[in-house]
Amino acid sequence: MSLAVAARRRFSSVDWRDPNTLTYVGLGFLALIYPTVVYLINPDQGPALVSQAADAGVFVVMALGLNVVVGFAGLLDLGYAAFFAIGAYTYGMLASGQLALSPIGHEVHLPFWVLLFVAVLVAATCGAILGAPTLRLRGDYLAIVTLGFGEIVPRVFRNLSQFTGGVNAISAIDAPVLPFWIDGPWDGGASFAVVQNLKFTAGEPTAYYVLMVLIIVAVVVVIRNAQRSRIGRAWMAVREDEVAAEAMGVNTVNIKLLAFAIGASVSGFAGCYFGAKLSTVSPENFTFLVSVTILLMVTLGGMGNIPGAIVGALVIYFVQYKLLSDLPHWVASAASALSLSQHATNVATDYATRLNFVIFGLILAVTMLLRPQGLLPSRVRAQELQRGTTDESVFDASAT
Amino acid sequence: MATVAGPLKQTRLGISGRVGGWIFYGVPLVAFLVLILPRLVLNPGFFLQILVFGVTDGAVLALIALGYTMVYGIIELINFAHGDIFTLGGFIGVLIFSLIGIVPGKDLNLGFLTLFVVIGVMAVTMAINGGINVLIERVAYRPLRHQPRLAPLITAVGMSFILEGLMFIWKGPNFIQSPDLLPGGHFTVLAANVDYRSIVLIAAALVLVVLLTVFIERTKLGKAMRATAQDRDAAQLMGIDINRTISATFFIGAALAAAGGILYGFYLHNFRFDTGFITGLFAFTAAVLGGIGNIRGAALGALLIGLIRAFNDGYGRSEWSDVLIFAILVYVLVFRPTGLLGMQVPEK
Amino acid sequence: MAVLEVEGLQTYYGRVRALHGITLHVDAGEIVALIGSNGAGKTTTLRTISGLIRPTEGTIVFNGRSLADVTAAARVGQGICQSPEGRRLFARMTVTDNLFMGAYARSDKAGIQKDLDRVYELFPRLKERATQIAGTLSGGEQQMLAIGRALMSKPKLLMLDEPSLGLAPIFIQTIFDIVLEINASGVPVLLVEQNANKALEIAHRAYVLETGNIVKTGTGGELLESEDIAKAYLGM
Repeated sequence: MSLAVAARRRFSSVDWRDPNTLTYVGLGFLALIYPTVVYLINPDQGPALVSQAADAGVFVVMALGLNVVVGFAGLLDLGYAAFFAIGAYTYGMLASGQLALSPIGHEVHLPFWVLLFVAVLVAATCGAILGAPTLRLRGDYLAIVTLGFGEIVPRVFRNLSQFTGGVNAISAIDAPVLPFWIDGPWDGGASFAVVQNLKFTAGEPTAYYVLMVLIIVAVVVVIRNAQRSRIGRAWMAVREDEVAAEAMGVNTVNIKLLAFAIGASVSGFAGCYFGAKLSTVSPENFTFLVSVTILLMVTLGGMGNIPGAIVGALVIYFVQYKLLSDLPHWVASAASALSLSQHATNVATDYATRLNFVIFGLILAVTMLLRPQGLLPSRVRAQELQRGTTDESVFDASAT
Repeated sequence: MATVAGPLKQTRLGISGRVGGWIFYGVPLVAFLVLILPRLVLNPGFFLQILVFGVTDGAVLALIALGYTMVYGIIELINFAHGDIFTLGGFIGVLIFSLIGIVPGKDLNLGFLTLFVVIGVMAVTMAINGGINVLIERVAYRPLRHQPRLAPLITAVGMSFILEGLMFIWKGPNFIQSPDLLPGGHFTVLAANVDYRSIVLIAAALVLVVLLTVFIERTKLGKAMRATAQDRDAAQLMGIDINRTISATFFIGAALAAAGGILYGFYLHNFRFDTGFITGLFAFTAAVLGGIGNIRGAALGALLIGLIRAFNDGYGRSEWSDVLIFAILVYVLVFRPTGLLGMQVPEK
Repeated sequence: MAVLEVEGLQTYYGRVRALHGITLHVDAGEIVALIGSNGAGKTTTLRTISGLIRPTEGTIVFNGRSLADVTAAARVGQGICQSPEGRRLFARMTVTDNLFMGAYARSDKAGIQKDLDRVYELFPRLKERATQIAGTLSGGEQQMLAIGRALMSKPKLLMLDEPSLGLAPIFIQTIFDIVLEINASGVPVLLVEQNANKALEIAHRAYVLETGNIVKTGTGGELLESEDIAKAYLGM
C-alpha cells in the first residue's frame, strides 16, 4: 500500500465530531500562527509573549506525562516535580561550568540534544527505582511515597552543594545550538533570512517556542500510540480493577511501573528543556507547588484525555502566571481609582498576592466534587461517571 | 487491641516473610550498634540529652500521627490535609490565648492557675478544630465515598491547599509566635539537662494517648469505630450510624492534632502556614512505621521517628534528617508494609 | 397480620435495574424463603429492605410504619435484622465482642446478657470459643456467629442471606434446625437460599425470583411439588 493511500485512509477515518479532534486541530493551528500573530500585533511584547508560551509548553509536556500516570494508570503521583528537577539538574550539571567546582574538577559541556535523552534516561531510572518497591503496594501509598520523594529530591540537590551549587543554584548553563535557522515574521524579523549556527539564547524565544512545539507533538504522538496499544488497554484495566486485570494475565506491577517510568521520563525531558531555557536551575524551582500545579492541570483538563491535559495545562498556566500574578496590580490600580488610603491599598494588594493556594485548592476540590471528568473528559471516563458502573451502588444509602 | 483498622488489604509484600523480617529489624539494629552505641558509651550525658529531645519531638508527632491512622483506619483515606489541620489547631490556639490576654513575651505569672488556663484553652481549641475537620469531611470527602479512590485523595490534596491558603491569607508568609506556658527550670541527670517543659509535654501527650486508647476500647462509640473500620456494611446492620462514627473519627483526629499544635507552639515557639506540611509527612511516616490503623503503633512509630531525627540532628547532620525519615518510609513500605504493630490476623 | 410489606420495589445499580418491582410480605411467625438463581436479585432485595441500598421506587412497611426515611442503622433499632451474605463478621474482634456488637443498638443490660446466654445455649460451640478472634473460626462456626450476632439485636424480623453457603452438610442441617428453633420462639424469618430444596422444606411460604421479578409464589410444599421449579432450581 502506498503511503498516500494509507494517509488518506487514516484521514478519512478521523471523526470530525469528536471534540478531541477539534481540540487537536484548533491547538495545532493556534500553535502555528501564535508567534507571527504576536509579533505583528504587539511587537514590543512579542519576545516576552512567545517566551511565555514556550514556558507554558513546559507545563503542557509535564501535564501530558502526569496524565499517563494519573489518568491512564490511575496512580497518584504527588512528587512529579522531583523528576522535573532531576531532568533539569542533569542538564545543568553536564552542560555548565558547575562540575569544575566539584570534587570532579572538570567542566562538562555535553550538547543539549544528547542530554535531552540522557535526562530522560536518568529520570526514568529514578522513577523505576522509586516505583519498583512501592508499586506493589496499594495505590494510595504511592501518593505518599511520591509526596515524600518530591520533598526530598530538591533537598538532596540543595544539600549536595559541592556538586549542585546548593542554594546558590547552577547558572550560566549552555544554550542549545542548531546548525541553521530561518528568521522571519515569527521571529520579529521583517524578512526571511538564514542564520548559521543559531544559539538558543534568551533573545531567541521563537527558537525555544518551535522546539517546544516539536517536543509536545513528539510526546503526544508517543503517548497516544501507547494509549491505543495493548499497553493502554492494560493501563485502563489496572485502573478500573487491578485484581481482574491480574486475572486476565496483566502483570500489574510491570504495567504500573511502565506508566510511572514514562511519566517520569516525560518530566525529565521537560526538566532538561527548562534548565536550558532558563539557563539556571535552583532547588526553589521544584517545590510541592509545582507538583500540585501539574496535578491540577490534569484534573481540571480531564484525567485520561490527552487534549484535556493540554487544555488544562494552558488554562492553569494562564491563571497562575497571568491572572494571579497581575491581580495585585489590578487591585492596586482599583484601589487608587477608588482613592483608598495608602495603607488600605497596601493591605488589599498584599491579600491579592496570597490567593493562589486557596484558588488552587478550590479548583482541585471543586473539580473532583462537581465535575470529576474535567473540562474535556475522555469518553470512557465520561460514560462511567454519567451512567455509573454496575458494581458500584450509586444509590448506596450510606453516602447520603 | 486498640486497632481501628484493617491495614493494607490487597497488599502484596515487597520482600516478605522471614528474610524481610530479618532485614527489617536487622538493619536498624546494626545501625544502632555501629553508629549510636559507641557514642552512648563515650558520652552518656549527651546521649541522654538527645534522647529527651527525641522523645519530646516524638510526643508531638504522636498526636498528629494518631489522626492519620484513625482516618486511614476507618475510611482508608490518606488525609493529606491532616498536617494542615495540625497547624490550624496551633493557629487557633494562639488566637484564643491572645483573646484572653496571653501573648508571647508577656509574663502573666498565673502560677498554679496556668494549668487550668492551658487545659481550658486546649479543650476549646480541640473542639473548634474538631468541628472544622468534621465539616471538611462532610463537604469534601463524604460525597466522594463511593467514587474511585483517586477522587477523595485528590480532594484531600485540594483541602490541604485550601487550609494552607486560608492560613496564608490570615497570617501571611511570616512565622507567628506562640506563647509558652510550660514551666521553666531543669534537673540534671548524668550531666544532661532535662527540662521540666519536656517532661510536662511528654506527660500531656501520654495522657491524651491513654485517654484515646481507653475510649476506643471501652466506649460504645469506640467500638462502633472499630466495627466500622472492619466492615462498614456489617456495622450498619448492627445499628451503627456510620456517618456519625466517621464524623467522630475526624473530630477526634483533629482534636488531637490541635493539642499537638498547641504543644508544638509552646515547645518550639513559632510556626507558619506550611509548618504542617512536612510535619504531617513525618507523622504519616510514623503511622506507617507503627502499622497504619493501629493506635499504639502510631504512638510507637512517632516515638521512633522523633528519636531517629534527634539522633541524626545530634550525631549526624541535621539537613539530612528529612531525607533520612523519607528513606525510612520507603524502607518500611518495602520490607514490612504492615509496620511494627500491624495486624497479622487474616482478613474476613 | 403482616410484619413486613414490600410493594413494587425497584432498585438500580447505576443504570442497571436490579429489581423490577418486588412485592412480597412476611406474616407474623412465618418463615418465608426467597429462592432463585444467581443474580436474580435475592441479596439485593434483602439489602434494600435492611436499608443498605436505597430503592428508586416502591415502599417498605414494617409493623405498619413506612421505612422510606429510616436509615439502615435505625432500622436495626426497629427490629429488622440481617445476617448478611458472606457472614461479614468483625474479623479482628473476639467472638464475644462480635456478639456484643450485635446488641449495639440496645441498652438494656440485663436483656443483652439474657440473649447472650440464649445464643450460647443455641450454639454451644461459640461459648467454647468465646475469646477467640472471629477471623480464625471455621466456616460453620463463623455462620453460627453471624446468626448469633443477628439474634443479639432482638430481631422482630430476621433476614438470613445464604446461611448454608459453603458449609459442610452436617453444619447445614444444624443451621436449618436452629432457624426453625428461632422461628418457633416467635421470630419471623426471611430466608434467602441457593439451596432451594432445604429452604422450601422449612419455609411456610416462598417466592421465586428471576432477573429481578417475582415469577412464582406459594407455600413451601406447593413449590416443592411444582414441576418447573423442580427443574429450574432443585436440580431434578
